[in-house]
Amino acid sequence: MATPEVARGEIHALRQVIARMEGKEHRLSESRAAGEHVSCEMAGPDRGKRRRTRSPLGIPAFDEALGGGLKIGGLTEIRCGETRDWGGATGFAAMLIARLQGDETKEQEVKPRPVVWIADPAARREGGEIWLPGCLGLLPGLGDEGVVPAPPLLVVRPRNQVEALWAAETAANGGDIGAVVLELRGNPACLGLTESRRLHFRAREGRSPLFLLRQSAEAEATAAPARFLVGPAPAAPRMIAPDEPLPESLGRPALTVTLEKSRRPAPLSLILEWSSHDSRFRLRDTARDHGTPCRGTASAGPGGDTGGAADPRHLSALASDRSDHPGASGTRVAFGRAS
Amino acid sequence: MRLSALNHAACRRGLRTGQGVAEARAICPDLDLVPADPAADARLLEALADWADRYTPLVGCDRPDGLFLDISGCAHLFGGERALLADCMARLFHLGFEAGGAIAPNPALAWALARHHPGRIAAPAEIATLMPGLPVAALRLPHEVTAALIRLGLKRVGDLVEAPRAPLTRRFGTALLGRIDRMKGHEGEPISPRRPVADIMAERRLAEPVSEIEAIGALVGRLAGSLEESLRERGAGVRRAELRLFRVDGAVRRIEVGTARPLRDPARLCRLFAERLASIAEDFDAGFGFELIRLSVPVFEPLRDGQQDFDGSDPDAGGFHDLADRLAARLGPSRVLLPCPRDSHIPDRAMTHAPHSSMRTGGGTASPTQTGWASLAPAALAPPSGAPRPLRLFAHPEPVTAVAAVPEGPPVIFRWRNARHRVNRAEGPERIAAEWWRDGEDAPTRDYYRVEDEAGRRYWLYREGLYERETGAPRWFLHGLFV
Repeated sequence: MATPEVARGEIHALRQVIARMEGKEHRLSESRAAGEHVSCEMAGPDRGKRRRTRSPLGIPAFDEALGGGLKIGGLTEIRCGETRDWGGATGFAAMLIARLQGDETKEQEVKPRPVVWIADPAARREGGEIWLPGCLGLLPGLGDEGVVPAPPLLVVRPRNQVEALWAAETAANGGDIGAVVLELRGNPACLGLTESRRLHFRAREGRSPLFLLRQSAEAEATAAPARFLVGPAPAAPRMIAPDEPLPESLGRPALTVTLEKSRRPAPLSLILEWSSHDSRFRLRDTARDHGTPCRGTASAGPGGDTGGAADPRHLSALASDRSDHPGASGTRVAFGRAS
Repeated sequence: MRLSALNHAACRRGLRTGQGVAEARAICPDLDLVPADPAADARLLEALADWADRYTPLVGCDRPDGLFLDISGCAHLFGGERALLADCMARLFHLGFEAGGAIAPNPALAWALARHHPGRIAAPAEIATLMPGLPVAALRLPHEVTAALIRLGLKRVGDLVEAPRAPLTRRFGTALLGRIDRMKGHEGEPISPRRPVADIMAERRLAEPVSEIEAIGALVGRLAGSLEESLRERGAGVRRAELRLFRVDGAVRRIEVGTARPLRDPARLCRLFAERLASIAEDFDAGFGFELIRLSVPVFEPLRDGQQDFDGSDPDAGGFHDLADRLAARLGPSRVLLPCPRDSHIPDRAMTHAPHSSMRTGGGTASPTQTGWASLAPAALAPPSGAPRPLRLFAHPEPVTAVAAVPEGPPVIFRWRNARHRVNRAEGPERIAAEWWRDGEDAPTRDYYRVEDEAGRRYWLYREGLYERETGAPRWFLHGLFV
């Protein structure tokens, strides 16, 4: 069923190769991006009058795949393959929260609302605690001047994973909060398809975004409409002048984000940079990236390591990466309980 | 080894407390001896004191074997003093205790009567007639003093009341006359209750004991409803509420919930108790059921009636605190936390977490919080240098083996959790000196580096100790993960 998609991906990849030969790859992707962005803006205002149900990420390719943006009330899954990518996964969750609340506070002039952060003890032990000084410029309500009007973060430390699930369910349906983040390590047995569906429904009823942040977890069938895989990406250098990077410096953080599960049949992998002063994602400008003194091989995320530093957007279009695909024998996930 | 307590049969065989074990065995070879356990006795007395809370909230323990109940203003609830005493003694008998009780205008006389005339109820006018007949042991004096008095032939309290006071004081100290004055009622004697007595409480006696958690939850709802009126009269809201469940067999279970803001709504209070009850459901032993349920409010705070802010927003921030209270009721207050910055530049100490329920509020009024998030201005969070901070911090920095090109430079390769990471770029060092006023003069300085490995992961590493100035072989640690 994914063959047309694969064909389209191949054609696109070939087009890109040609474009790169002709040296106009940059312009091509930019014009595409601009076009999609306009269409998003067009759709935006009339929806904004009513209660918004989706919040665009500002990355046209992702927004298109998600059907207009991230669902506000509902479950979103973010995972990282290895524990050492945990910082990136946490950061991506915080960035999404900042995007969601940033739009809301601007449009409706409300104060940023607190985030409930629930951490499974195993995830805390292995990956460290969420640390507020590191959230400056990420979590809403921390970047402004003066006094913070409400507590930005409520840290919940349950005794075990079952309590963590209970806390997430209560919080998602509970009150007027900005977002709920549930950190879990691995693929615990207590969170199957049924439980994830329950969490998704609760979050939908409570109209609060619920982020399931999974540390070193396998892709698993859940009720979440969207799942992101977060991997590392070299940071952009600091800029001393608009076109002059400071060598050997670490500037805007960057991540390789793969949208594993969405309306698109094939996964979509992009390198995103985060600019904290305007709370926006930016697509990694690959043309400029060649000029940076980055010594490492610009390895894109999983599945994306095929063709050097091209636009990684369509390079990982491998249908076998999808969660719906029957896995190799022995890795049955939530098989008997999907009812 | 000596005998510390005896039963009736042993007394009849002529044994006395304080007797040596060898001597007792000689008198009665088939004596059954059990080692004394004063700690267990004290626990039993505490449990009995909990049980006695059913009569009055003012219960004091009189170690090792007595309880004081201040029943001023309570007796009529049980049908008078005589009925109360009879009820108390009967219940104790059915619990398997042999107890003596008496009611008197002051604790000293009640103590004496309970031991020497059990069952007696003394009116204030009877003090003068009752006292002279009591033995001197009834004065609660040290054993030596009592023995010395008896040796002198002063066997009754009456002998002491009539005797001249000055020589008695010279010989036996002021304690003796103090005791007599207390028994006469000339000097007050306070009973110190074991717990602060709650001003607001509601209770329900049940003809038929209940044991299901749902039934208890429903009863709590009704009790909370009856508390609402008295809270409203005082203009107060609950900060901490306590539920006591008196089991038929005498055990008492105490369940507490706390709230971050004063609360009056019975439904919300009831929901907090429902969470608390659900969390203890596994080890909840109802036995043969509970016959008395009491809800009290030991801590309350002023709560102003629903005035809204000018911008129309509810000061309760849309149920956020309600949610936090519910989480705390189920998981425990120490597991629902707010981050608070502290005045320290050592990263491990710069941030602590305080329980949400301990947050000080202005009692529902608009006064800002003194602690908690009010001090969470970005200035308090960011380091003065403006250097970025990691999003994830390890509570205990993890040791890594690192190789640096020069001893004082950034690492080139490091090994963390058995994985080798080649450093691609590094920023730093950010030097953070130790706090000598806490850690001592020779605590090592830390040089923090923000490094990026080949794949693009960013870590926060530090070198402990300045090369050659503080240590010859500096150690490396990984302290955090960046986005």
